[in-house]
Amino acid sequence: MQSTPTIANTRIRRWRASPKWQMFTSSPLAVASACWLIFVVILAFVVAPLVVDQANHQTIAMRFYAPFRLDKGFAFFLGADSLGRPIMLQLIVGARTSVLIAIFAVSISAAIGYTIGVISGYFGGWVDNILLRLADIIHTVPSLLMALVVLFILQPSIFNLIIVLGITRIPVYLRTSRTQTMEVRERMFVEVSKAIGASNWRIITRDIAPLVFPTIRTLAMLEVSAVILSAASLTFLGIGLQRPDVDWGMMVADGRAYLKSTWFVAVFPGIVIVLTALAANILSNWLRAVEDPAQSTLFFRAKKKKEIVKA
Amino acid sequence: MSKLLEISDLKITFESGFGKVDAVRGVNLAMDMGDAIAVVGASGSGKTVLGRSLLGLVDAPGIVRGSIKFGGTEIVGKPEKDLRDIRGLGIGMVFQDALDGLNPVYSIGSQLSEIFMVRLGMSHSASKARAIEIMEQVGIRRAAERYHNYPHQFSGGMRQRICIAMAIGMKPKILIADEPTTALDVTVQAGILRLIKTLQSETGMGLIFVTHDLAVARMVSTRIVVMYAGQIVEEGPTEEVFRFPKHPYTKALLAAHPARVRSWRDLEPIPEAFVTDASSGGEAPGHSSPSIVVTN
Amino acid sequence: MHTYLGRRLLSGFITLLGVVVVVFFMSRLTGSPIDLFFPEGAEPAQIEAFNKAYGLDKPLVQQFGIFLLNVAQGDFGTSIWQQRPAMEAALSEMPMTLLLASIAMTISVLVALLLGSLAAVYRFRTVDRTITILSLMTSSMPHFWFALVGILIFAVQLRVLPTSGSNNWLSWVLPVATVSIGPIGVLTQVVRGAMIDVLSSGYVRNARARGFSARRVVYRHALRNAALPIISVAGDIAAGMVNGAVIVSVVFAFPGIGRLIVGAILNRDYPVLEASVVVVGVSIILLNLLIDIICSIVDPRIRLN
Repeated sequence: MQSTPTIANTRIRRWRASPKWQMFTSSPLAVASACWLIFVVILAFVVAPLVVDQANHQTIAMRFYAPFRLDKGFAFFLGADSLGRPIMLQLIVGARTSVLIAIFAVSISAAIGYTIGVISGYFGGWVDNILLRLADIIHTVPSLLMALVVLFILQPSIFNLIIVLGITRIPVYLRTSRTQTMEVRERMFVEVSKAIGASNWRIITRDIAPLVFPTIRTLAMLEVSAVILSAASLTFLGIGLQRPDVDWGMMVADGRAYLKSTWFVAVFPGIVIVLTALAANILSNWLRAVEDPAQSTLFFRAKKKKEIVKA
Repeated sequence: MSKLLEISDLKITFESGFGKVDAVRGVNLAMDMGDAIAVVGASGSGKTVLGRSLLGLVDAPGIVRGSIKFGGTEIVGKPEKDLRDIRGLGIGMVFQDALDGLNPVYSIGSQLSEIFMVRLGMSHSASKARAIEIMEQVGIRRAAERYHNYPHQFSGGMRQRICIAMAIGMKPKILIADEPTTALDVTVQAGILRLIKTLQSETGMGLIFVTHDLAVARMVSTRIVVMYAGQIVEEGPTEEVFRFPKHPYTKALLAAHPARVRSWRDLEPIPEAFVTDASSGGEAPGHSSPSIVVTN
Repeated sequence: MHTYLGRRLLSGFITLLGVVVVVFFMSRLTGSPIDLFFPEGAEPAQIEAFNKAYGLDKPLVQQFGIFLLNVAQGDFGTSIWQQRPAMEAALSEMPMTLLLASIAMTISVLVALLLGSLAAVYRFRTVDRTITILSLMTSSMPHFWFALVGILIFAVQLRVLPTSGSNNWLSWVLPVATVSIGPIGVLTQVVRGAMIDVLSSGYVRNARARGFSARRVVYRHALRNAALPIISVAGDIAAGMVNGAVIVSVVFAFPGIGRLIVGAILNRDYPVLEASVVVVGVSIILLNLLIDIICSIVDPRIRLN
């Protein structure tokens, strides 16, 4: 008699067999995107601390060292920038910046926007009006402008960048969760809860919030790519971060002056930005495809002529 | 002399990644001008797909096999371009959902005249006049005023009348009505049915009325065709089939009608498995699903 | 209808007021321009004169009061950096940005309608997959990256387009392309989704049953309904275009409010900053109002309520 499998094994086995996993593994795009993102995260948190010093070490002799050669070591495989710093290592340290910003900014704006949105949508009245008005004010000025103006005040640092991006993106979550809350609020089962005397807090947390959450989760995934791009744009404009903090956008800005001769200084960080944002986009697309298979193109399983013969 | 419409051994299957479904399995039917046939069956019996196939509206993954001859020309396998000659001009169709069936961003007047301008080549003013004329014919009062109104400004019954107007506008020889009254109130239903019958007697066109409602079928048709699991299980003059049903399924259908019993306890439902099963119809299925459920 | 417009205008005005207040306090609560204009060890008398000239010596609340009074008259003060009225500077740069955004918006909508319809009609086939992947890619590209790559390929290697300026129409190509590429990606997906819904609707099926040609069904019957959702995202798209215009201003040395704002920030020029933000805010509010009006024109269901 075989020994009974542990609970963990059963769980893993059930997950493996679930349709979600099937859909995931049958789509090379989704798998590739997830792998890339995991790779970036590993670089950001595991490798970055190890190479920080060497990444910021300036060597005039290594100025504009051309890429794709290994004779000066692995670090210089992607070349060096105008101050002799190895681009590959800069990219890795930049990954840490981007990942931190992405994770925290999205979490902050999603958490605040979701909470306020649900409360605002549920209670309505003047509370709703004021909160909506505040969201409108933030929303009226285009995010880049708003971020520029705010970072104008604050000292350039990763922390401030996170705060700014977190706050400027709140309106999106707020609006979505508010609209959905208002729609869910009118549904029958909420009336039932009220009829049996559930408190407002209970209704919000047990009836309404769980229905709104999936929308916010999908939105947050989309926003990850948007935040990465926004952060890159801000640092590209020279606002928000100062050396020795590195970000991919900043690297592109540095290389911009030398585009004609040493193109790689600007191009490599740019490629990395696009790949990361693309991976996040593809995964959020996959999430939406999982929820509504009808809309997906990229993850549609090709029509195989499965001859399911019925009696 | 060939009939107006001849359907021979029509088979329609849907093949997708999820499996194969035989929606229509060998149907034979013939009709002439002036005939009024009711196609009766439950959901899944294949009646709607049958109606659609007459206009060549069965899209992939559906495959149509067999023969449909309209006025001597074969419809099955005709290219899309040629099918357009039949649609609207030869055969017209009215569907169930009247609100979704009308384009919300154009006035109903322009939608009607578009038919005449584009398909009959009439001038703008002639099309408008004809559109108003046909609106009055289907019972819309103050048609000239309402020409510029939009679909959402009409009630359900009115919208269905407009859809009927659009279907018969080009004076087709056959009108297919696919459950046109199912989504309407019973009170409105009578008006629509009366309209369809009047139009039919005025124009002499053939009528194929698809429905699951036996009472409606009885009112509207001279011949009735009962479908079950993609096949025709009984066919004959309406009154005869109602009074002397021969097939067990027809008997079951009639027995399940609320008007014919005295108490809800006497109602005899037909199990769902009956109609979604793909096994050969005709006799009671040989597998585990029970035959007609006995009342409780 | 008029009361609705009136209410929206009022609402927009209140929002604008909020924006102005926020900008004011934010810009005053930072380092003053003194550090930039005066070298270390400058005479206190000079600094005092400077402060007096720009009203920076009064308490903050008083500054705010004066500020509001002036704003009500349209006076945003004089630019510290450029020595001319701040509002004049802002208003002189805005038209270029508006022009750029309008052209880009028109192109984006037209291209998106075309590509989105194609993707929907040939759903799940190669055309659709290609278009969807392309729109995903364009949504993942930052403006500056697209601009730089464009410069690299077209200006540096192929030498067909200039790298900066705005004199001839050729120099508009890259800036317009940069600003439209993101919206094209997003709008294509919107149109595709809407078109898929519309193509499975009853009225499209009816149009086919009446024997209209496929082209007519798609372009006359389906497209207008599929275009409606574009209008609801147009507001966000427009805001994104202002973002793009800022980047384009910087990368291509293209005239516009973008380079004015970046300059104002780097030079700590409050008046110009405030004036610029207000001008942008007003534009966006008016734009949203315009979108509402367009919505009601295009969709008769809204209009007749």
